[in-house]
Amino acid sequence: MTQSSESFVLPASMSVPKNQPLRWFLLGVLLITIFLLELCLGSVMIPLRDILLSFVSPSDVDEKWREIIFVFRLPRAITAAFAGAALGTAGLQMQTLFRNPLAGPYVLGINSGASLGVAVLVLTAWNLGLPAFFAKTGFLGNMAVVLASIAGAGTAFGIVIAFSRRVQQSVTLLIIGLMIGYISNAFVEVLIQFAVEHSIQRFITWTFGSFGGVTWIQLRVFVPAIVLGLLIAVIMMKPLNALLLGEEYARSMGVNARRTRVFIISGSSLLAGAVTAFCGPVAFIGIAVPHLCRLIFRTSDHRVLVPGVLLMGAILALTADLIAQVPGSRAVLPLNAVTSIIGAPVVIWVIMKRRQSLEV
Amino acid sequence: MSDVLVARRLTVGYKSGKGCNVVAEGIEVSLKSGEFVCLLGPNGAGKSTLIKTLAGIHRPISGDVILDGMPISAFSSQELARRLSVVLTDRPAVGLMPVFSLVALGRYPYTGWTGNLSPKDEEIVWEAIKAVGIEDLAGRLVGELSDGERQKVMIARALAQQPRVMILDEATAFLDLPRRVELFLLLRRLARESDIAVLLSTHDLDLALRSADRLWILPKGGSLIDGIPEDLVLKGAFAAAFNCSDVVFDNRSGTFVFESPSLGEVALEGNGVLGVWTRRALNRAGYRVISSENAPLKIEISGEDGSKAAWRIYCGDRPHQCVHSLEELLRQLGSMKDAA
Repeated sequence: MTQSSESFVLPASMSVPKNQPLRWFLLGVLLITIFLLELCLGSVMIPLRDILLSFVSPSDVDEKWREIIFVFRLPRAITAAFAGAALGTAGLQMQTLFRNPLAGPYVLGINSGASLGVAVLVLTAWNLGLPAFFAKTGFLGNMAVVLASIAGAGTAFGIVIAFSRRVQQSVTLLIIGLMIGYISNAFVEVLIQFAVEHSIQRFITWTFGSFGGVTWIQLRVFVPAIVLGLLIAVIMMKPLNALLLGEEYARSMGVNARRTRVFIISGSSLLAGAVTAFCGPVAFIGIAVPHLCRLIFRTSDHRVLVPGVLLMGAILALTADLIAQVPGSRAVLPLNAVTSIIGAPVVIWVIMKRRQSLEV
Repeated sequence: MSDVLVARRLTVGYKSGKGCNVVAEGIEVSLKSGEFVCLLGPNGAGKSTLIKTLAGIHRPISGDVILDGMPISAFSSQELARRLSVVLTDRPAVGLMPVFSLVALGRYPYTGWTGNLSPKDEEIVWEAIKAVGIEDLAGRLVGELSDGERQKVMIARALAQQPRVMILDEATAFLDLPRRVELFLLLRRLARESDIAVLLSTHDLDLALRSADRLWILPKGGSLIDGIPEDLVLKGAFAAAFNCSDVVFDNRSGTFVFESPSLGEVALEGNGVLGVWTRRALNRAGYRVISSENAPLKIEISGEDGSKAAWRIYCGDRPHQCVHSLEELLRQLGSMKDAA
């Protein structure tokens, strides 16, 4: 008690492990490496030299390779990186808002709404005789799926946000989100029952998730939407830290609970909705990444975790996509199969490693 | 000492369906700075509802809560958090947060959008940590703390808000007795040293009687009684609020006693620690202890406390037996009863 306050000088550094900068550096290097690998590897291998060259002086690179890089692989890598960052960030916010380690970006039923939207389009379009239209206009067909997904996700979001103004405790929203999911899935099942086979095939392929097929024009919508969602998460870092103590404590420290809840839900829904619209319901990254970051940085502080999940999410999504493409072969695995096969052991490992990681 | 928090014609309760469920009404009471007040009352009397209304977490059904001369509802959440802080019962589920960072969350209403601490904030956080005496915990993770340590950390956090009023809702529940005593004394000291008003709702009558500057007693369905502990005991406020068929408040000892079915009267001779615990043992077994000489049974204590103690049992004036432990004493009395 006799010590003066000058003798305590460690607070800022104490909240984080000492070699924090090294971890950030390694994550950054890892992200760049995997991003470049994503450009190099695929059904055709392109040497790293040509990848780099194609940015500096494109005329020196084989035209076929240039097309592969700029039309297919680069937009795909950008999509994967942003989608991963988005899912990780949305998952982190949901886990903290609901104080539930198993929460993820889809707990509010956003992806179920999206999948109902897509099911309505894809499964009924065939019955209405639209396949010829889709076949002719591949691009428009793709865009129609995106729009249907946005409409479905937006409806689910509207329902959740309407309830969020009326309920006292956030946990109630978790149950409402779950119920929205059940109702959507019920409608999807009914639609599948009466749909023709190719349309079911197409719908199921959509549910596998994929970072491919997103065009540069679509990226002009996708990237700003994700950036906006990430910015909201950055603004929410401080109230998210207060929410770690629960809503009543947060409110007693000056958090405007309802406004914060609306912001967090809107931001994460934008992130989850955008990813689902353009890539399908990509599973598991959103749940696994926040746990992985807590383990790496050994903190619950969102000022560390938000940038952390952003990087880690991008890394994990790119890695999963790389594996899904089975480099060197023509085969492609369903993306969700890969994310789950990587994600589930990660969650188990994290939980076994640290009991406290179960807490958010 | 000035009034910091005042309740005027306050009615508290909760809205259920269309109507409202009034829990307590007509509350006129005030909290002064530098004062440690305990709110007592039987379960279901509405302590928690009252305390959450005073803290601005619930809205009153009618009447006003006035903080620093302004109705509490007129403050923005940030302004309120700079004047009033709260400690609750529930344990927050944060594992990977160092104690220092948790206490630093108390600076929430003062920091910018990132929540980064200025050197001044940091100093205030350390002062709060020192005031609560948890310097050695500062670097530990919250998930590794015991319940008592965690509650102290939550109090340090509430102190870092630099409030005028600190309100604690059963913050000592789930703690063992030494931890509770420690917290009561800590709260009283904080009230004095930091000149804040501290209000704690508790079931710990004994500790409240011994340490609070004032007590508020909220009987079920009645109105709030306010006064210093000793006055309230003498006025019989405890008996009125808490008594039920089996439990009675004993004004002499300031504790509750259970009315066991009486096995008869026993006269007791002897003082000191042995006297106290012999009386307790006899009471627990169901004997009423009297001082009159002409009781049918009399017990005389001899020896110091400890190993050499002896209890002599007299039946009328005849010495009956001498025993060397209270267990034996009770067994003897029991067998005498059966024989008679």
